[in-house]
Order: sequence, then structure tokens, then C-alpha cells
Amino acid sequence: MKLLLAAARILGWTGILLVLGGCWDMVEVSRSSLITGIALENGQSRAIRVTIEVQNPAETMSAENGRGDAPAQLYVAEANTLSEAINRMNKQFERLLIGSHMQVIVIDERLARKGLKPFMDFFLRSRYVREDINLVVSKKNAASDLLRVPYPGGMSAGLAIQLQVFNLNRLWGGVPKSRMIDYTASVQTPGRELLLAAATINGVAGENENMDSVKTLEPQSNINVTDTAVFKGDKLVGFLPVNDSNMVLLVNDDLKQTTLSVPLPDDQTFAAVRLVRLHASKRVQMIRGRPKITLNVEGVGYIVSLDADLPLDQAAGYQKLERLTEAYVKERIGAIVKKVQTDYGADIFGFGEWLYRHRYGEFKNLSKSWNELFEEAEMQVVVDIRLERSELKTKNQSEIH
Amino acid sequence: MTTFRFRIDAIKQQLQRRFGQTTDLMLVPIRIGSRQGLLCYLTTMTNTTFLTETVTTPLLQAYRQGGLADADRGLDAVRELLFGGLTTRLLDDPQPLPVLLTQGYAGLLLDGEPLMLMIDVKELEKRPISEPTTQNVIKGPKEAFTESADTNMSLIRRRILNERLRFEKYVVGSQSQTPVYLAFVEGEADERVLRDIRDCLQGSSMVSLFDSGSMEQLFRSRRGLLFPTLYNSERPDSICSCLMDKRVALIVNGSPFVLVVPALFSDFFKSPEDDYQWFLLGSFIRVLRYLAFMLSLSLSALYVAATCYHQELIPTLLLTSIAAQRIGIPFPAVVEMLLMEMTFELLREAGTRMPRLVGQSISIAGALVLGEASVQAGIVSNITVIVVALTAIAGFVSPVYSFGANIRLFRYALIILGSLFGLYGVIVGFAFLVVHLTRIETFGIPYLSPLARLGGRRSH
Repeated sequence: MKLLLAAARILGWTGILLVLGGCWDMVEVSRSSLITGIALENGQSRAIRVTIEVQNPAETMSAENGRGDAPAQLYVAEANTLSEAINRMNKQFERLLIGSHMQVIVIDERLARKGLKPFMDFFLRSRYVREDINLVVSKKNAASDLLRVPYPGGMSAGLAIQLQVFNLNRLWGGVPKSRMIDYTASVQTPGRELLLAAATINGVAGENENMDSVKTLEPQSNINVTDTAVFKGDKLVGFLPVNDSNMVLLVNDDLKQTTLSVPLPDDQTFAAVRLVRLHASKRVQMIRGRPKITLNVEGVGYIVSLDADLPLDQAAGYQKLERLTEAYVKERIGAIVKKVQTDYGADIFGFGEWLYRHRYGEFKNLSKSWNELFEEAEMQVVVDIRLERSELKTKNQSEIH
Repeated sequence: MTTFRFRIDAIKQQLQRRFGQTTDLMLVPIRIGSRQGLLCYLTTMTNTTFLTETVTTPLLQAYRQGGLADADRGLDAVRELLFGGLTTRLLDDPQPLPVLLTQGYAGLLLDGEPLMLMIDVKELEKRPISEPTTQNVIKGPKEAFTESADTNMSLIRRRILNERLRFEKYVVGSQSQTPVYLAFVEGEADERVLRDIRDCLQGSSMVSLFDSGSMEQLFRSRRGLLFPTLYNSERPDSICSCLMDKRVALIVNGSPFVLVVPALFSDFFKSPEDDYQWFLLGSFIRVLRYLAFMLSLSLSALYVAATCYHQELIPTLLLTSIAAQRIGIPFPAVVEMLLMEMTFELLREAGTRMPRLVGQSISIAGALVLGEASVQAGIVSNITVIVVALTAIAGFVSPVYSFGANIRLFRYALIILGSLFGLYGVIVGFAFLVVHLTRIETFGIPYLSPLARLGGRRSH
């Protein structure tokens, strides 16, 4: 009887809990939608114009019950603050929005030139935005147009840009990693300026895109992650072409691997060298009020292809190629640093950061004027590349009889 | 003082009064020498062939050959002459006669004798030793205990050829009079545990006992509500290894499951097979069992909590997949989960109770009709079916069935907590579970040892 009473009491409480309790924060995934990408532009009537890319899960997972419709829809809102724009989105959209799976923030070039701070504050404060979300600057095209590029196979532009930036960075060093955590690190660290990936659209882009574009062999438009956006303070100052960005990342000691076409003495002949295990160490000294930078680059290389007849079965052949590669890397680094010094005057390489971390007392007085000092800096580069092997074969096809 | 003398008529009347009109009571008049005698036994408890060969035939032969001339000297002489090799008892009081008859003795009395001869001709119908049904191993002994306690004891004795192995007999159940044997290795088993068990067996108020499962409830510690504190096994090798490991076994006549006390949390993750194979493989499988335990306990609750409250915890593409599957599902995730869990419970129960011949139809109805069709109809989502199936499979991994069966009750509590409070609820549920586990003791030994010990207070 006592047991029965106890059981009845437990059942009663459970029932009351079930009826009255909880569930106030509950989100039913089938009645809500994921935001996969967000594009920010200058507003027409208000401060900011937000385009969100809302995923259509059934189409994204085409194995489930997709019919080949668009995997995502775009919705636009304008407001004076980002938060207001996003939270008012249900004005035109029926579902609850889940922001925690955002993959990419596309920032319009014009907005970026005005500065990132006003809207990045919202993302940095929010607990739902991931630290590894990609920040991409849209060059020339409107930011929202980047999200309008259709992709086959359930891929939406937001997911695609993220994957593209990731792979280009990993395989070639073509763009910086451009995650929000990198933004925070650059903004918080004196003596280092921000680098972000920049993308543009190849082919037609605009309002009337539909999925028919990807039903042809040649898509009518695709996203081109072309450049590296250079910031000074938090304002965009310009772009570096994709050809230079691997060298920028190398100086930053942030390059995993890359492939170089090293010119050979004969005209129009090249040796393709894949560089891995790259490491760059820098050293900055103030000599008579002028920074002197010493950069030491070490790395291992593999010969991927070779246009000339160098004897790769002898040490001499490797040594010659090593010297050529080292000279080429040195020249490229010198050129890019020079270019940044004269064109932008922004220390995107983190030389100032080195000084800040290693000689704080010296840097403290210079921090305000570091970018001007950087423009004056003298640079000495030492490159040591060790070529380890030549893929599978030692000899050229023509040499084998 | 007058000595009591057995009279045929009186004994007949006594037995008929006690046993009533039961058909298996045999009262056979017999002549021994010059005197009238009576042979009484229960046909259901005796081997009648054996009785004829060893009792009645020698009596008849001796009578014909006149060898019973000195039978007048009484039953003691008859016993010496004819039944020297048999287990016999002499009674001077008719009081225990009915009890002895139910235990398989045949009674022989001569009219007017002061003693009555009881001969053990017990033989029971029993199942032969077969393979274990619930605790199978691939590599290892294939014998299992049977319902006969004698067989079970011999299976143990055969494995432990050690004179210190003891079997103590107790009778439990005021009506059923079930023999229960306490097995232990003298000098190894903890004296305190032995004393506790003996007290418990002698002081038991049970009316009847038919299986060790009821015995288990007798010993279950009051705190150990969710977790069994007695290990049971139908494998002699497993019981023997427990006996060598300073534990005590309880063999209940009529049950093929032998109990072991004290049992600890970690015992329910051990299978005798672990010791029969390469140690790395054995350890891997044991770790897998712990994982399966966690999975079976928490996976469905975590699924409900994560999809309802913590979408940011799920990888994007997985969440997309879940969202795509849940389009058009009419129920919230909790209701869907509880629905499928209950369905599985129904299937499991029906599958166990179904006669073997129709058992097939349950799996067809369960897997095809309920699983496939309900997903097709959009009533439940695929992912829920996957989660339920995974927790169910993981629940069967424990080598001891009763362990896996017990914890599944707690799973429902976790699902409800998860659906009300999200991950917070699941974590609170787990915290409660850990507190509960650390508080359980079996015969004074912390349940979680050797993983964790109770510091400070220790009850006796």
C-alpha cells in the first residue's frame, strides 16, 4: 500500500512535469531552418542590408526526398543593426531560424572599406556563431550575388564557399584561412593586420539564377576565390592576387604546402616543385630607428615535373634545382614584401607582432606608428630548401630508351 | 516407559490421512519371514525399477530360499542381510515418515516392530545437460546447469577438485520445502558474508521457492533498486571462477541459474570467455561492453536532448539529414522516441513469450510492418528507428541478461529528463545514477569497487 502510494505520487509528479514543465526552449528541427550563409551589404534606406541563405534540408539531402529544387532560399532584410535585421526575418519567412550552423559571412567590398567593427561585434558576442565560420570579402560583385550562385548535388553557396576556401588554403595556400578566430587574433594582436579571402563571380550572376544553370555541362556562373583582401585597422585597403598569397602565408609561417613553377635557365622551361613542411622564422631588430627584418625559410620539396634534362640520378642535379628554387622563393618573397610596403603600408606579415612578443619594451613606443615604420623596413631573406625526391621516376620520359 | 511399536493399520491410516487420495502413494502388503509387513513409497519420487531390483526381488528370493529364517530378529537383521550397500535410515517415530516419503525414500515396516526401515530409492525425471541458452560463448565449455541441484553440484565439484569445496544444505519455503545449497571454498569465502547468508536463509519467511530469481529478491539490498546485486549464471565455469574468487554460490533446486554473492558492478561486464582468449581481445571486448552500456542508457536521451535543444552540437550535415527526415513527422521528437521504444518493448516481450513456431511472425510484423511501414508512412523518422535499434542492441551486450534488462527502465527516465531540460537533464540524471551507484553496498562491499570506494562511513 505504501509502495502504491509512492508510485502514485511519482506518477503524479511526472504527469504534472510533463504537462506544465519545460519545453520552453525546445526547437523542433523539422519546423525550423538552418542559416548556412549570410551576406552583408550597405543598406539602401537603413545602415545594413542582410541576405540570409536558408537551407532546404530535403533538397540538400537529395537522397531523402529532393526533387532537384534549389537547396537553399535567400531572404533579404534591412535594418540599422544586424541583430534587428536577422530577428525580424520572420516577417517574410515562416520558420524558426537556427543560426548556429552558419558557414560563411560574405562581406561586400564597399562595406568592408568602411570597416568591419560595427557588425563583427554582433558575431563575436553571440554564443551561437562558431569560431571557425569563414569571413569572405566579395570583390566587385555584390555580396548577396555570391550566395545566388547555384550548385549541383544539394550544395548551397554558403557550404560551397567554405569548402572552397578550406581546400584552396590547404592544398596551395591560395587564400588565408579566413576564420572568425583569425579575425579575432589579428584584431587583438598589435603589429599584425588582417587578411581575408576574397571571392568574385565568374560568368553571369544576379537576380534570376535558378537551378537550370547547373543542368548544363558548363555552369553559367561559379564562385572564384581569387584574391586575398588586405586590411589596415579594420578597413579594407586592397587585394593581393592569388598568385602572391602563398608567399604571404609563407612569410606568416601559416603555409602547409604549395606548388611553385620555378623558372629554369632556358626560356619558358619550368620545374614544378611541391613544397611541404615549410617553416619560416623571423627576427626584427630596430637599427637606428628603422626595422631590419631577417627571415629564415626552411622547407622540403619534391620535384613534380621537370622540363629540362637535369641529371636527377646525381646529387649535382638536385643541388642545382635547390639553388634555383631557393633563389626563386627569395625573389618572390622580396617582391611581395616590397609590394605590400609600397602599395598598402599594412603589416600583414606580423613582423610587428614578433617585436611585440619578443621585445615588448621596444615595441610599446612604436606600436602607434608601426605601419609607417614597416614601410621603411629593410629585409633580409635566407631560404633553405631541401629537395628530397622526384615523385616516382628519376628520369624524363624522353631519356628512357 | 513403553516403546512405540509400528502397526500396519495405524501407519496406513496415518499416511492416508496425510496424503489423502493421491494416486502416487503406494502401500504394498508384503511378507517377510513369518511376519506381515508393509512397503510404502511415492511412485513419482522413486525409481520403481531400482526399487524392484534392490528391495522387492531380494526380499522374495530370500523368502523362497528360506534365508529369512532369522528375519524374526527384526528389521535391523534384514537390513544387514539384504540392503547392506544402500542408503538406509531407521525410524523409531512415525512423525517424519511423510517428509521422507516425499524425498524419495521407500518405507519398510514389520508389524509390531519398534523400528521402521527407510531405503533411499530416489530418482527424479530430469533434463540432460545442454548448452547454455542465455550466456553463450563461442570458445569455452558448452555445459549449462540444469534444474536438478544434484547435477549442478556435480558440475561444480567436477571442476574444482579441491577438498575445501563445501556444499551446505538449507530448506527454504515453508510449504514447498525447496532444498537450497550454499557452495563455497572453505578458507577463501568471507566469513561475514557466509554468516549473513546463513542467517538470511534460516530466517526466510518464504512460502514457496521455485526459481533462484525469487531468491534474488530476498537478498537484494534495499538501496540497489536499479542494479542487481546478485550475479546469476547458468555456466558452471563462470560459477567456479567466482567460487575461486572468494565468493559464495547459491544453488536452488529447480533452477538452472546459480546465484553468486556478493556481485559488483564490474562483474556484469565480465564474460568467462574474456579469460579464454588473447588478453588484448578480451580487454577490447570488455571495454566495448562498458561503451555499449553507456550507449544503451543514454543514446536515445542524448538524441532527444540534442535535436530539441542543442542543434549547435550536431554537425551541420548530420543536422540537415535529421531535419530532412523529420519533415512531415507529426510528433515531437520525444513522443516519437517513446513511441518507438515502447514498440520495441512490446516486440521484445511478445517475441519472448510467443510459442517458438509463431515466433517468426513477430519479427516480420515488427521489422517490416512497424519499422518499414511507419517510416514510409511518415509517422516516425528513420533516424529514430536507428537510434532505438542501436540502444536495443547495445542493451543486449551485457553477458548477464538481467543487468541489461534492469537499466532500460532508467533509460525512460533519461529520455523524459532530456526532453524537458535538454542536456542539463541528462547530466543530472547521470549524476543521480552515479550517486546511486556509489551508495549501493552488497554484503558490506561497495558496489562500485574496485572502481571507486566509499570513503568514511561503512555499514556493517
